Amino acid sequence: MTIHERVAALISRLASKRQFPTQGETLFVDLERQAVRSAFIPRSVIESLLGGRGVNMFLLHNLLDESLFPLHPEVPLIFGTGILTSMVPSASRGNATSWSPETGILMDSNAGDYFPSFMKLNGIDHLVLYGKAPQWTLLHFAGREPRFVDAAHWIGLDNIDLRASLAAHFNGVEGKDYGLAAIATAGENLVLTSGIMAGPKAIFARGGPGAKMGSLNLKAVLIQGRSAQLTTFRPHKMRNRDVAQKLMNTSVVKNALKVRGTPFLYKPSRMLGAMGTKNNQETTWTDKLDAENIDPYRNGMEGCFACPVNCRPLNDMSGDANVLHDKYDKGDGPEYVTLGKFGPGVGITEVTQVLRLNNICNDLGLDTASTGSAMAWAMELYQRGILSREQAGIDLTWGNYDAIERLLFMIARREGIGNAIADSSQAVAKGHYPAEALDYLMAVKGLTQSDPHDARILKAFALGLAVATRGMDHLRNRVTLEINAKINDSPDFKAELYGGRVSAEPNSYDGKEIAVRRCENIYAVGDSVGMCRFTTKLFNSPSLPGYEEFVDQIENVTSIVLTRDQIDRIGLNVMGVERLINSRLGVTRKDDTLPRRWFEEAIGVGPYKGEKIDRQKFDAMLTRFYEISELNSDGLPKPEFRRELDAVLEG
Amino acid sequence: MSAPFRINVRLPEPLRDGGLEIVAIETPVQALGELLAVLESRLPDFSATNDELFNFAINGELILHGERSVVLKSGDEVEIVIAFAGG
Repeated sequence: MTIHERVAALISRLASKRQFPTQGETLFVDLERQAVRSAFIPRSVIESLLGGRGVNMFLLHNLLDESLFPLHPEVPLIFGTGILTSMVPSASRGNATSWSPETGILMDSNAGDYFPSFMKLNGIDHLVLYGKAPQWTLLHFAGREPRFVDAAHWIGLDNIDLRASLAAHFNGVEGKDYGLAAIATAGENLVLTSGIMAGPKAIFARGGPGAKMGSLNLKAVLIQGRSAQLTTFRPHKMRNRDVAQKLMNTSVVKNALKVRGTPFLYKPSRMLGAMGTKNNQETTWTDKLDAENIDPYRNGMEGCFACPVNCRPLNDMSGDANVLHDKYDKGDGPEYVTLGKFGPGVGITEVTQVLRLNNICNDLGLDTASTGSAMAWAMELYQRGILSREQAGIDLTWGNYDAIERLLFMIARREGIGNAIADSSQAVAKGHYPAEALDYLMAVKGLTQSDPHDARILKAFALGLAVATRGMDHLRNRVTLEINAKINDSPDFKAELYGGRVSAEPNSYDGKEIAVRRCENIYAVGDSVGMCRFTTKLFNSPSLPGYEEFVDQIENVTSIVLTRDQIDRIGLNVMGVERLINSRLGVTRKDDTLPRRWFEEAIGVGPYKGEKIDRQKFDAMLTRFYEISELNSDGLPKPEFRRELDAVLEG
Repeated sequence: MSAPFRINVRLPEPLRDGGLEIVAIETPVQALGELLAVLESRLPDFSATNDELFNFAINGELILHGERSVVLKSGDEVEIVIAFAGG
């Protein structure tokens, strides 16, 4: 079947009328033929998968032809907003979903700022894009009717200049007048570590969304105005006040996220001996990168659409005489991930250098996690002589700042060794490195690790990274509160939090599957309602909004009534569909594992010196995880669960 | 005559009232749990039992469980460490 036939078959099963007052349309946009069709997601699908990430999976499952390849134009790129996006404080998120060119499995990436909210504000819940546009195109919505604008004028522009040019051209202010998702040069050049920029820093990052969008000849999607009437089923603003109050009264928000953002985790990770350093060959690094050392350069905080938290730190080095002054002496960020990946990950010790690399990545449209990881991998290969000076063409010694900065531009342009790094975990398959290089690749299912925390100590973190459906990524299921001594020391509270007994000891394997299961469910639900991960219960605090608030507001906004157990089940459903998609792409139990290094090489410093992952205990934990997740021994939904999912997906 | 009991507690930025980075505790305590009670009386913004944001490191070693029973002695340095996740 062609994509046109698949779309037609799917639309015939969708609803022709709105299922609840705030529901937006699902638009199917054929970029090649410049044609648009629309439908509504049936209520039965909403009740099983909600929206955002969950419904994106429904769409991908139905439209994916696994006989093609990820960058084939008939493999769709799907944007989706959460069912509560733009309508509840801190719910400003949406997902971009496809078949990942970086990993070869599911691609699904979440971002905030303004684009997902402007989709919702214009009555678009899902945007399914396919076909290769005949020339570089900007898709412009003013309301729900798109215009296919020739984007030749903007080709070659990176994020800073592109956003400035589009603001002038469309005579508006991003966030106030329009939302924008766009690629920079890295995406144009199909760099597998490129993302889709949803703001100056906000990015649909993981799995190569920028390359996927570039493969469709699509430079940008700009959604202007607020044309939709979002009339809720029942008044929801009083409950919104409760949500906002809960957010702002939580210590992690009040004392940390709102005032400094996320780089705080660097310090406990390095003190623990769990800070991934030099491609995880080492696990601690300098205190010069502790969050407080970023303070002198933080000139403000920004936030996503209607979010009261404002957790995104800005940076400005223009007052520092020791740094180069150009367009990269100020910017947006860094987050903890970037601090780790471009600090210890590549051997950098200076805050100003990390800030500058952060600002460059934001401009070039590079995912700092994948780009930093792929660069660290190349640097270890260089250290070991697997990649020679001649092959590299550049001195890849750890901490060589000038080379690292230059390399970012080479990656975005696919020049020299930058071309190999641009292929990320695929570099061996593409013939850039010899097979022995795979021994040093820190990736699961082809995705390099998202955050810099080395999970040889915390076994719940390790299990989460192994089973995450998009690959080695902490944002899918990480039991962050395992680093919290107060919760570890309150066994009854901890059992209540996760729905079962979980060992207090961070390096124990006992019960960790229970905590991962609970986190994976609530985070999948969060992505499907549009809630930010940072402010979803369990990721940073047990006190943040969770199911209780979600079910109330889903009922208020949509009229759909869910119990706490039912919404938890939706999280399981999302995971189940994702595993079905991955299975079609060749994923099996053997892929739910960890990098070789973590099984074979022990942590060398700190209070958990000697710690590594025990293969047998890990395998037993994985089996227990499958069992409580209603998965069979190969990690796929058991027959009854499968039947339930099939009824939703194909009914 | 033995030296007077003293434990220095290094504060994270949110608890630095008036820029004070280190609080010296001279009340003899034997375990971290006892020290927390002393700190609660000294630091108005600090709630040892209820605030999940704060972890503790003793002489540079981060404590992840069994926090209140960690044995302390005079001369130890205790650091309050902010711990939460990012993206």
